[in-house]
Amino acid sequence: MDTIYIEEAVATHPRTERLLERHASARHVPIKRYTDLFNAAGQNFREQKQQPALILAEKKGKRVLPTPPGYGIGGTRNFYFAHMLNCIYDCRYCFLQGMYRSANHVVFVNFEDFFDDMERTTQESTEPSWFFSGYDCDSLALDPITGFVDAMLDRFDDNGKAFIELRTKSTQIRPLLKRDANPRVVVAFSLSPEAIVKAEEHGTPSLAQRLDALQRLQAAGWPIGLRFDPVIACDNANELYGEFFDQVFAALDMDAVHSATLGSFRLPAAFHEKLRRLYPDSRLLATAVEKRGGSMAYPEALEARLLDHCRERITHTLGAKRLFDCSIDTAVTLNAQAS
Amino acid sequence: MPHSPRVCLVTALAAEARPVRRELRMARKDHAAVHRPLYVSDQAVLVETGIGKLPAAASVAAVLACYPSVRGVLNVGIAGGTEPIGSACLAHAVQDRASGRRWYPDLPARRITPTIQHHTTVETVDAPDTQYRKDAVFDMEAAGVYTAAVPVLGSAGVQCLKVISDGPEHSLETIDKHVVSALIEGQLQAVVALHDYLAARSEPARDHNTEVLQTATHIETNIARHSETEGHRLRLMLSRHLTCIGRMPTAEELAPLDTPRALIDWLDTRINNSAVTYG
Repeated sequence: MDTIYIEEAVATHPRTERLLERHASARHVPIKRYTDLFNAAGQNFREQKQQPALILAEKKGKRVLPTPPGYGIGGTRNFYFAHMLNCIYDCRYCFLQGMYRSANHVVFVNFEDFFDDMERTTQESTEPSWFFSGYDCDSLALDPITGFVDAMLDRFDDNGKAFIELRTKSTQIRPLLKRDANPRVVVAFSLSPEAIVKAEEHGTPSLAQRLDALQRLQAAGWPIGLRFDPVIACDNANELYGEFFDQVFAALDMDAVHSATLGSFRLPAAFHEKLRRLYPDSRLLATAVEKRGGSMAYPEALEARLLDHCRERITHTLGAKRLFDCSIDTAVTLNAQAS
Repeated sequence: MPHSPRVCLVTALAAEARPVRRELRMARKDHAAVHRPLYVSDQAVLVETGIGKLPAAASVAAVLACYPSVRGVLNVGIAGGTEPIGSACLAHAVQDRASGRRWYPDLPARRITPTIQHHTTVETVDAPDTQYRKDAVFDMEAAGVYTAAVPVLGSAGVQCLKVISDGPEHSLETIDKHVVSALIEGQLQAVVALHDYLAARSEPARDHNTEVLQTATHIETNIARHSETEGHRLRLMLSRHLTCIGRMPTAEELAPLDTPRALIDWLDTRINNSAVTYG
């Protein structure tokens, strides 16, 4: 980290002080409110992404939001939260590039306020509550800096009705492996064929590295999730995804997999337009898509072919009950809530 | 061959500009649209704006309009502050005192500017101020430079380097043009490092769009006139063609297509037939 901006409200927060101490040689820049910087006009996301700064801030207002109906992995009460904004990875299909003006990473250091809100939410019902992390950020990628996972799991060991999904592409699983597995925490990895990882998921661990992390988590008893989203259309999709599923299913104990989700490439229309302007040279974003609802997605017939092929492969191994669809409308609603 | 500078250097005073011009081997150039002293080298153009944020904004706007090749602007000058006299301060924020408006430049990596020990807020004032503060240095131009340059180049493309010339122990009255030149001279290494950093700045999206616009202009001028909506669609299709096929359509390919509809259909077919394979 070359530059760390520190919001006035968290300047003396113990977590801020610890973090600044560990990054003493970085430039420390005081700011009044993180939004002054994060939402400023004239930022170039693409350029900033090459060398993002870190912003330490306080999350005010609503910290835990309900997911849209239909979004979930088996639970009925589903919520999501973002203790960070933005991601260290640079996936060309990622909607964050369209949602934020800035590529800088925001870490909300008031973790305890998130935990309090989650606890309150859990206590509102006798039903179990699911909390999804990793929507506005990667849940684990910056964990060596933030220490969020440890703080959260310490707190949630006692909360028997709260279930958590940590969604990631990162292999930073040390904080999980050094503690006992928690059956109420699903570590869900986004997976793509290696050729797509190389071409579109810049800076991410390879498929083999992700599978290795999943194997180690499984061996330690952690429930794991597989997120096949987004599936990307290409002329060799059947062959590419066929080999990919063979590789994934062979590497893991599929009987012990908690869940899988499946969704094809789609973006809210406004984000797709913004991304196309940001990356006019991206082959993925130049591919033919059509407007459906509020989203840009593959033409319906192409999407159906693509997903049917994948669904068939997944259900054959995993069964239909543990596979969940990510619909277009879900993506749009989530994005609208987050922004 | 047209002159295509990558960097625009901005100083208020001739005394600030002199050591920079000498170091970068810049020569005087007259330009009908820039009514201020202007100097050029292969890579850069330097403008002496005069004192104040309005002359600074006007001069920078004029230079950016005349030289669309410019990818970065660097404001170099003296400022008042509490840091030691002669030290270089890179702006992590620029604030216009009068309006309260603020800009946050995306700072270059520290390895790029190893000689710069200080970073600070540069507060642009309308009249010299001697109420020196620890949290900011005072200048009279930076906010004007940012007003004009950020909308064109974004927050990563505009940097501001100030050399401390006056402070609680050194009054403004002790400064003359020789002192100013000597202060800037002492920080030329930092100036050159920032110049090189901005000159190397690449904007692939801008380059891509320039190529698209050239072909779109060729089509409108030589092949088929079109409405605003058709023009927008055509540019989008040309951009996708460039990405999917790897090049623009040639003049020979475009020649038989004499209506906007025919052009768009032809481009659509080409794009949809282009192969997408991974691995």
